[in-house]
Amino acid sequence: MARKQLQNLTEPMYYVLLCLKTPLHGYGIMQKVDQMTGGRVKVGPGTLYHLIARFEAEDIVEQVSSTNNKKSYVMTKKGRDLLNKEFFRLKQLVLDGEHILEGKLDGDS
Amino acid sequence: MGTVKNIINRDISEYGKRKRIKIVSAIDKKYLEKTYKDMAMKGWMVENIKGIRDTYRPIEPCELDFSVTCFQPVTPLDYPDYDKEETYQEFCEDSGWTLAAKNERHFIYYKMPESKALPIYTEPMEEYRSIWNAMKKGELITFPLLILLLVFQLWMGLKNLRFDDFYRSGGLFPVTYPSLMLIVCVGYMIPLIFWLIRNRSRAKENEPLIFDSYKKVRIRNGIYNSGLTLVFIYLIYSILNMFTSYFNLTLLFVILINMLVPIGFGILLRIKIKKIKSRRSTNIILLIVGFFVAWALTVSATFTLVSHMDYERRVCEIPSGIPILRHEDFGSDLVFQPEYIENYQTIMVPLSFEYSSYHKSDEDNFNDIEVTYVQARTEWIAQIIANKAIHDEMQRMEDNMMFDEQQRNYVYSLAFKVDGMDMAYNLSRFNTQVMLVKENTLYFVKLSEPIDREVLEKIVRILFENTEKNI
Repeated sequence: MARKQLQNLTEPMYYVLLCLKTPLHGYGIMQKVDQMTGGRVKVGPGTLYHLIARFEAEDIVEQVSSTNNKKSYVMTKKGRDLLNKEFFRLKQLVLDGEHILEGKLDGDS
Repeated sequence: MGTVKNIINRDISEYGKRKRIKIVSAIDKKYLEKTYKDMAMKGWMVENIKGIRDTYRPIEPCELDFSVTCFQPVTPLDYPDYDKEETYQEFCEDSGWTLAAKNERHFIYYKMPESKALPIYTEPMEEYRSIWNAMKKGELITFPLLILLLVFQLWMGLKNLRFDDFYRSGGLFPVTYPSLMLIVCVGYMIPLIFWLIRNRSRAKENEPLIFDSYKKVRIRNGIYNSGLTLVFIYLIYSILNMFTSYFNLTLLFVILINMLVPIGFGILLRIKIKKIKSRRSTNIILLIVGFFVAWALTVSATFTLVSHMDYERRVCEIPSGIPILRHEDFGSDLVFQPEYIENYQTIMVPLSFEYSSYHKSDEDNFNDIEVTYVQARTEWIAQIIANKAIHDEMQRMEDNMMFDEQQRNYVYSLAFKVDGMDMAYNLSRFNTQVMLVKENTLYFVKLSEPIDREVLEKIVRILFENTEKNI
């Protein structure tokens, strides 16, 4: 049975993809996610391995040449499209939230 | 002088290593982590977890944190993907974990307590998936298949069970063995299924997975291992019982074949997976061919076993205090020359035997006497055997197309009562065989002449009214 394609990204998925705009190795990804989120989101090595494996299987990230015997990964075009789509979805969520919660309507500003 | 425990420990530690047997499932993470932590504090570091035996090497006693993870479950049909293993190890080691040991399913990592390494799994769903995948290629395939096979065996055993299997050596084996194994297998599966159901919803809610505590796993494994040991002892007991009853070289050969073929097949498959590199489809073909060969050998061996089993029966003395039917009891002058044949004790029937005396004379009546004595452990067991005998007789009639409504109750036609209780049943359309039941004692009496009311009363008087207290 074919695996269900990724629709929405979980928080760790989103940040891992953000890290892979440029090539990065596994431990680098874990550190960068931690830095980016101020320690709010943490990705353990086992979790990262399974996320990367899934991204690779769906052609969202690809392995690039290893440096210092460490495998590096980078986002593919498909991955970038997915991330952009997710980014705009989240952005729309925030905008909608602002309209309702903070009373910002389109014409107000 | 050391204690036995000390001697065992000394022997297994002679090369500076210590070995411990463990039987665990994919969900016993906390149990394993605590076991390895405790061993490290005692100065033993796990270094090999192949099979059901863990090997430890001596270290300076220290406190370490362990993490047991299911990484990449491998079945005998898969080749290990070393590239994936390397990646996984790289991620774990870079983040502060050190690999202690690994096998086809588990990777055991450790770190110092002060290390700030992240837990290996920070997402419950990923951890759940890794364990689900491990179980999907392990227990969730093998145990349901095994349970199906055992149910089939049990069904066949029940279908072919005869009333005399209750008091013949090994007669109940086709029913008891799959029943016991079924209890063990289902008992093993229930916690796994329960864990999967409970944690699936937790993983979806992004809540940490719940694992059974060390104590709970110990109790569970204790019960499970005890059950397995009991089944194993029962199996050995049954085989030894068969040996003492019907020992011969053919039987020995058959049992060896039955045991060695599947084991040898498993070893060959394992060696092939490790040494020869080929595709998964090749392995599947090999598995099917090997399974067929193993099955054919086992079936042929079993047929040989069955065809060689029933020709030597023991002749023994009849136990004292139990009345015997003789030709003279029926007014015949034929000499009673019985051949006593011992039956064996079973759990349900502590004593049973049969004897027979035959004469070729055509002049005398009652020239054939066959009697089987069965002393069941309790009255209700005797009743079960009696009911089964009645059922078997009716079934035999149906199978022989001799059954009709008028004869439906012919087994009850004797209607002989003692103390208001039915005790005589007709087991032959020609009235030549009766079953007598009283309390925990049964007699199966077969004569060459029809057993009419007068003869039956005589038999009952001899077998029961003269009976001393049952042994």
